[in-house]
Amino acid sequence: MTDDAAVLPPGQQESEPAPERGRLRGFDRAIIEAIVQGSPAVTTAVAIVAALLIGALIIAFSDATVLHAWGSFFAAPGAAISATWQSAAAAYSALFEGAILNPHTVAAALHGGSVGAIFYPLSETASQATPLILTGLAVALAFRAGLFNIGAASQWIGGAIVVTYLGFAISLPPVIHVIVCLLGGFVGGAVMGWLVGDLKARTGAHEVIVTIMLNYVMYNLLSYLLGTPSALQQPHQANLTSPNIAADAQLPHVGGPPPQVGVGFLIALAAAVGMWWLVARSTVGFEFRTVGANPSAARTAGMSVQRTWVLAMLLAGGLAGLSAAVTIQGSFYSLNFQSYGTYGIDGITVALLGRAKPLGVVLAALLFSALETGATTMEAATQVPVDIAEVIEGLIVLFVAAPLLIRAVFRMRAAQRGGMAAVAKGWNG
Amino acid sequence: MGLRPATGTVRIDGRDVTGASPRDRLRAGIAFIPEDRQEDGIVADFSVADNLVLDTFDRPPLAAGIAMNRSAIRDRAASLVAEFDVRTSSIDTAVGTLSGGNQQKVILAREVGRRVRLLIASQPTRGLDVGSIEFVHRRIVAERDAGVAVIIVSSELDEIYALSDRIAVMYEGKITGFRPPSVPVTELGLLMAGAQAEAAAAAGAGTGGAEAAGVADTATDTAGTAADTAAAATDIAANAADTADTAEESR
Amino acid sequence: MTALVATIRPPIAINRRLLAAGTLTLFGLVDVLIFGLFAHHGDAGFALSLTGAKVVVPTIRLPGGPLAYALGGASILIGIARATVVDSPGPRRLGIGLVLLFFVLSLLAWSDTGSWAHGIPVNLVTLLQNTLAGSIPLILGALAGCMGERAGVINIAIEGQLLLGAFTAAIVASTVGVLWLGLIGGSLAGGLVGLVLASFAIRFLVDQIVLGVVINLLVSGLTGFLYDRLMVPNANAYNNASTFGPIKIPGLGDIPIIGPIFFDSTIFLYLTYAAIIVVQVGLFSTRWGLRVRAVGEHPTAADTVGIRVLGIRYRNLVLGGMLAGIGGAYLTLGSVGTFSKDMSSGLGYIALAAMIFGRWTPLGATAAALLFGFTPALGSFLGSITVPISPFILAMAPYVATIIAVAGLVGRVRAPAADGKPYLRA
Repeated sequence: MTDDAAVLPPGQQESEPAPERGRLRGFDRAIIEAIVQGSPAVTTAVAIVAALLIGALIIAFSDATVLHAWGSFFAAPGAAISATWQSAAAAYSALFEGAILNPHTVAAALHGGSVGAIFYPLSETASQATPLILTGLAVALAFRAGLFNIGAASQWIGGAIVVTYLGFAISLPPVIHVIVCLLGGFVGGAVMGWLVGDLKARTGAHEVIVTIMLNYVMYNLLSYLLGTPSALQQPHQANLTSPNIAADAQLPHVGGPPPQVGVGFLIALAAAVGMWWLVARSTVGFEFRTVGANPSAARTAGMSVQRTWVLAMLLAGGLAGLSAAVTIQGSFYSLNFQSYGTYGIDGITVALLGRAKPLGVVLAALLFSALETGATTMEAATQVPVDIAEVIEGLIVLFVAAPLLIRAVFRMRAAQRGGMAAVAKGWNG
Repeated sequence: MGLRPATGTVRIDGRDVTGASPRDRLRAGIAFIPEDRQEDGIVADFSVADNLVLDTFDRPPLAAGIAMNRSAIRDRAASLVAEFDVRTSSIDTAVGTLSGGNQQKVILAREVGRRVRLLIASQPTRGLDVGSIEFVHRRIVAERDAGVAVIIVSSELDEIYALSDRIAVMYEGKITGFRPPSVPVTELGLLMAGAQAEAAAAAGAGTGGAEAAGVADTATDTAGTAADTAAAATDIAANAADTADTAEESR
Repeated sequence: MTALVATIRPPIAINRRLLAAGTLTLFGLVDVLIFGLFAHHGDAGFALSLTGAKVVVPTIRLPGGPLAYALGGASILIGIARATVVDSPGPRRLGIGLVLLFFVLSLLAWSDTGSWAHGIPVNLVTLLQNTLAGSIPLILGALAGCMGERAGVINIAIEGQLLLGAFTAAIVASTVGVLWLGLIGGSLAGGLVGLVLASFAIRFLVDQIVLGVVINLLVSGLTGFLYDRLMVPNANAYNNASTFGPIKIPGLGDIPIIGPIFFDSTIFLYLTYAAIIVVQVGLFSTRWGLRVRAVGEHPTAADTVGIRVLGIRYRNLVLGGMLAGIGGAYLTLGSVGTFSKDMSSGLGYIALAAMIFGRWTPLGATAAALLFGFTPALGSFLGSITVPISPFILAMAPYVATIIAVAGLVGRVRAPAADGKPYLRA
């Protein structure tokens, strides 16, 4: 992902400094400067706040009670405002309690209740984040090589099929079974990824189209397999679900009774570290990044662009397949449309927010899973539909483009480096 | 690399690299300075250091297996920057922010900073300031002096006259003639316009070691003919490399 | 990275001509080996009229096995011709079309001669009617894509435009009670999404593929949220739209076979015809279209000649969005009337594939969209006569076909040269 400071908004004249906007005074300007030229962390924080704000407005103003209160705004303005506040606050506090911390459990613990229960929401969030971290890494890794992996879903299914089959159809000694299933998931996903990369390398077929199509193909294949007893369907019942995998193929948890940290979460973190090392420190990663940044230069320097594409998609697919493995072996123990979830498409937004860097992906996945975990609690408590989480996530990612937006709004000059780059290119034609 | 021979073979030190991949050609000792440095020569977002090792990053001592040795890379980058006088605030600045001249120096440093047998430079001083042009010219001649076969593809007649030991003129993908640098401009111009002339045989060794041949580019659409130029250039390269070998053998 | 064309020309390791010929021959072999060898006894019936039509065309009955052999043989011949003789685009496409047609006919013949069919003939008219109907959102979506991409902006947000169009049409028609206003509302909603896409892509320079994905996510979340919040508790008030009834064009609608398919449908189909013609003629035969295409190929040159690059991009995206919005409105007001969550179910992405398949031309995109619309229609027909093919396997077919086509038959496609690259005034 290129640094967005290097680009000018259209219409901006490079030659003169923009006239001072009267309403921006010292402190305001300092904040804007911090946002515009600040680190990605600052930008992201602002984006999150802005998105939550808009989310709050959506929640409040679709609430019948609030609308009613605003109907008689002139009679009781205070009531309208407080109704709005209450609607949003109730929703968000339920969200927080479901995802991070419920103060009641703290109070209960002080009175002799279980201390572990305090960490329950966090462990839920972490466990929900696990598959998301891996699919996020799957998309991010492909991004680094300049590829758009919209097909994490198809790779996930590929891995899931292998994992489930190995999980219930064969028997192996305990630890071996776990490892074999994990590897099987990786391989299943890697094959699907390899398919995309190979097609692109050999025939030039664009990976956006191929991956979108494969998503549908695999989705239908999954439905078929889950509905056919001889394939993956649990026998003697009509639902589209697979048999449970053997107990010794399941991933253990660390720590006693809930809260627990699944081993899957640790695997996901390990994968993130692995990806960091691969991309930043290895020759393979250097090739990925070069091909992603400038394929022509990579070619001239002797790198095989085709080979890089294939390898990148293969590894990315493997990560997505691993995501399926930890989901099935760690949480659901069987394959059906509940365990399938939306990890594929969510992986894309996670990768975008995390700017395709492993640490960013982990944090973004934790954030998004906090939103989603909390949203279910929120819906139970305040009847606010869970879809709001999706909206907030989308807004966050959209607002991460904020620096340009804010810069355009306030007609600020481009950041120093960006300005110089523009001038340098101009002179050399 | 843009080198697609239409006919003939390319041999470096007796090794046939006609159909080899770019990587193999680089390993065989060919250095290539591309015409479009922004597009083919550098990765603008990468640091100067990374650009300097774009083609050598995976060989020892810069890498051990698949692990890159970052300190070795930095050391190498620092020494190349010093040797080639690349003006940059640090080896970590993005190469896209450097001036055209310094970018070209980075490319030059990368290509000839290692031992090569053949240097092909396409439009090496396009868009550069006078100081950088000087530097590039000096360095090219230094390579020639060190025994490297050099082919320059250029549309700057001044440059060709200044640097060449031998000039080959191309018109519509074919070589119309070989001339020494004492050739009058009018004759060169006629050849450039396609006037038929005897293609001088590429016989006769130059003054010990390898020779440099400058090829004048005729068409206005330089991008299109660059590939053709390079194609014909491989013929010359073959000749030059052979000549270099012969010259060395005869010492 | 954002251009939908490979900027690197990969070495074509596989000879494209042989690949195409091989694919065609493969279809022929399937005809012969599967539908021929495993043919059932008896005749397949192909009905060509609806019951109660003014002019009833007699049902054609053909023996299943021999038909499959004949069609398969013809396909193989076409495959051989492709490998050896045929090279210009026209006959090439004709060949592909014929092979696909023969494949479908063989499949239908095989299905209809099975015992599960109970002698009920395949009603080609109904099949094609359903195809056309199902293709409406795809065609309109693909047209929206063409409008934007020809001007140089990638529109992955077609899915969002369809969904928001469907939602808005349903809610407006339910609250206001007038179907036409719902249709207009849906169209405007699509246009709004187009405006958002345009703003963020053109003004704020967000990567266009990323932007499309995010917009789709937002629309999905927003409509889902409002569905739960407003429509579910108050279905009568907010989600109670009726549908447009079919309008038969007098005269044309009574032509045997063709009439009921093309001239007896809802207003949406007629709007689609108009859209196809307008966009095709507009893009390729008017000055406006020339300007648009110039912007998409070489915006700098266009700007130099005084063409307003950014203005054209904005306008095309909004207009395209309005077309897609109509397609979305069809999903509710032209079909079931009520909105349900995520009811666009990926049609936007298929429309995108149709656009690429059709090489960014309205006519090509329409042909591709019809192909995509055909498969679900085929699937429901086969399901109605309980052919023992899993509906899921059948549903996979158009997607697999697209992959094969993009890799084998179509290969490297050429988008407008400036597609996906934001235009910055130097």
